[in-house]
Amino acid sequence: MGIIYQIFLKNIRVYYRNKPSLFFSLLFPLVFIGVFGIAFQYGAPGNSPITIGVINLDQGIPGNTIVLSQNGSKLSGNYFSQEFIQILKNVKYEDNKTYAFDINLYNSSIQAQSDLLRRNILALVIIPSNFSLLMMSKIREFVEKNHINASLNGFPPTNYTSNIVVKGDSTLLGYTITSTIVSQIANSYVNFSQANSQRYVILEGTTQTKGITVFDLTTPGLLIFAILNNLGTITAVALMDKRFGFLDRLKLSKLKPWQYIFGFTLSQILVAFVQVPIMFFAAVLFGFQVTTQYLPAFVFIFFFALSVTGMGLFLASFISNPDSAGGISAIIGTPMAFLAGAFFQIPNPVIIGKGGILGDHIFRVFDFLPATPTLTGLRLLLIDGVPLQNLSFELSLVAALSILYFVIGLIFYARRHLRTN
Amino acid sequence: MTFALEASEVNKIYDSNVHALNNLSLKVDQGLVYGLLGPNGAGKSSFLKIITGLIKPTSGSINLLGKNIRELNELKGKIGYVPQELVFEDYLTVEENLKLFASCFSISNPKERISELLKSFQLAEIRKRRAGTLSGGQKRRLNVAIGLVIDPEILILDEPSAGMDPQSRNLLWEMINDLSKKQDITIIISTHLMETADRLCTKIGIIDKGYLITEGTPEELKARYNSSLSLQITFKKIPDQNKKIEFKNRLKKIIEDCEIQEDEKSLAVRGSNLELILTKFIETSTEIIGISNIQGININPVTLEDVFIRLTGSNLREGK
Ligand SMILES: Nc1ncnc2c1ncn2[C@@H]1O[C@H](COP(=O)(O)OP(=O)(O)O)[C@@H](O)[C@H]1O
Ligand SMILES: [Mg+2]
Repeated sequence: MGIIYQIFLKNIRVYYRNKPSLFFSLLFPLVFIGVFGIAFQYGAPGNSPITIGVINLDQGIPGNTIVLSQNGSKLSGNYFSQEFIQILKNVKYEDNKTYAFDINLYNSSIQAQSDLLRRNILALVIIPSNFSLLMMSKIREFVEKNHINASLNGFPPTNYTSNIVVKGDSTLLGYTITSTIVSQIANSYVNFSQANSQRYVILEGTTQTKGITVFDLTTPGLLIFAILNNLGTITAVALMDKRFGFLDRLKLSKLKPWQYIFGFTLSQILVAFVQVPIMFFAAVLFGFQVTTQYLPAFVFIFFFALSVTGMGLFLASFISNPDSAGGISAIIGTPMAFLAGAFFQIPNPVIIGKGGILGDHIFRVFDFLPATPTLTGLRLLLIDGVPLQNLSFELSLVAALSILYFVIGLIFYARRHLRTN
Repeated sequence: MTFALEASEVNKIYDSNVHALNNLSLKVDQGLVYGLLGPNGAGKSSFLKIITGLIKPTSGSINLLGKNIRELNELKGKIGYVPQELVFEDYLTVEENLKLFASCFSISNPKERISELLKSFQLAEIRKRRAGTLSGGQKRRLNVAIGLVIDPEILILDEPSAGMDPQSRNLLWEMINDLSKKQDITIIISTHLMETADRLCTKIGIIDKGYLITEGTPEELKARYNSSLSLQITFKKIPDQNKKIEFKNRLKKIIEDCEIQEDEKSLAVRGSNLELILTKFIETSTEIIGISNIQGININPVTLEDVFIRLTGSNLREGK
């Protein structure tokens, strides 16, 4: 334990006493936070409507049931889903002028799907067939909670469930914004009974959404970028420990290779764990809207840092000059950040689609890079507020890829540098 | 008698096809201070890395402390090795470096050991300085101190005093002398400096181009190759070339086995017949060069350097 701690301590000290490391790992990403923060915090995304599709599968209120609105008029047919769509149409950005969505209504889901694939629409909102029944169950809940005397014949029970589905490419900005806004609105529309005033706000038809800014969407990408920026230092340290005879000198000691690697890896993970809160804090200063999900984010960060350590070990087994470690790492690391979509969305073709061997999940070309699923996971956690337990697919993917990357790096490094030749 | 080191027929051919060691066999008795003397590129570092198990020989076998070097695990913590290069972490302080190595060697009482080392290597005052910012001599001292965090049974030093200032060098020599006297430790030290080998070592092996040329105590070596003196005469002004030639020819006639070295303003002669050299050298020089042009006459004891030059035909400092 003492040995591992000393190796760990050594690497941490090298990190914070080494100006280029500090610069690339902290200062540089912080500058990005500042630049993105200032550039994008006020402008809601594009300030132009996002084109989305809506399919209304709602079968309406059953004909033999009587549903009355609060002012006593009788509601029938697709009243609820129509109202919901109207609300979506009326959503405006914070400037109170620009509509958030440009909505295409579809009757055929085939047409909608094909428009989605062609990116004619960036997201497809599917209102389920039992939407009206869901609303009726919510009315029952409201009535029972407030002890209102009313006849609820034909109303479903209060635990009735139904799902609004938002389909699309989750790496696309438009999709992320749409799914977030739609879920916010759907929740407040459907759960009107939980706050009396809410329904009325929505019924006014001028719901504002606190627009997710481009900066919000970029912040997780910048976290990834910062950790990828450690690659240069990781590679250089792993290389120098060998090149300058440090490992040789230690070969005569009781230090075992695994202890060296363990201490080394731990130190890299700690560096990431220090970077992330600092970046978070800076991002919040620039207006990043944190959800309460930031602690689970460290699970993703842990695995991602592991994968970056693996990449560093890998590179260190091919590069021989420590001076070129920084440059080569940047050539490898920065494109990874780009391909993962850390700065802006880039097309990421789907290899395994929904309904394939991954069930409800998809696998895209750049998902092979641990940065990509890490970013997806972080966005879902931090922006959409999806709880960690619903991210088991993303988490397993990140964990599996990271362990794979780490093991590959380790094997190469061990063969090249931890053996006597 | 067990040997601390038994190397037999060690060859090392690097990937680059450099034949660094040629059938080198060497035995070092326990408790000796053994000097491996040779010019740069002779193969000293290669040999020391092989006997510490850091690189593999192309062929040959090595026993260290009675164990085959392939069982390095059993030797861990018994070998103190100071590489020729400075090997420590520049970003750590002197003390942090010692702590790191002490911990990796799992020594029992690190605090005490470290403060001992800091004191004896005169590093105590700069214990909080980052190693990267030390002077050349201080770095060298730290490099050696790290090799001594353990109490080694065998201490292997690869050109430890290269690049040291005279004070540091003296300090190191004293330390090594003390160490070899105080305890039953075997020390193997490589150097390209005669002075180091002469002052420190109880036995010397001369190595050149990967071959072990000869072995012996410093005195044996000097005696074997020069039962003689070296006399040097320096002139006030550069003598006539003809006179020099005449002087050399005359000397060679009188003293059969003599060897003459000259530069502009001096002539040196070496040979085994002391009496003859002493009398005839002075006689002839005054006769031919003239007493008025003679600045002085030096009598030099033979140095190991002389031995080396005779053995390898090359100068130590420059290598081949
Ligand atoms: N890693 C290596 N690869 C190739 N050649 C080497 C290597 N290390 C040393 N040599 C060569 O082996 C010879 C002996 O080198 P070395 O053992 O360092 O000599 P010394 O320590 O006596 O100066 C030299 O010609 C040197 O260039
Ligand atoms: Mg050497």
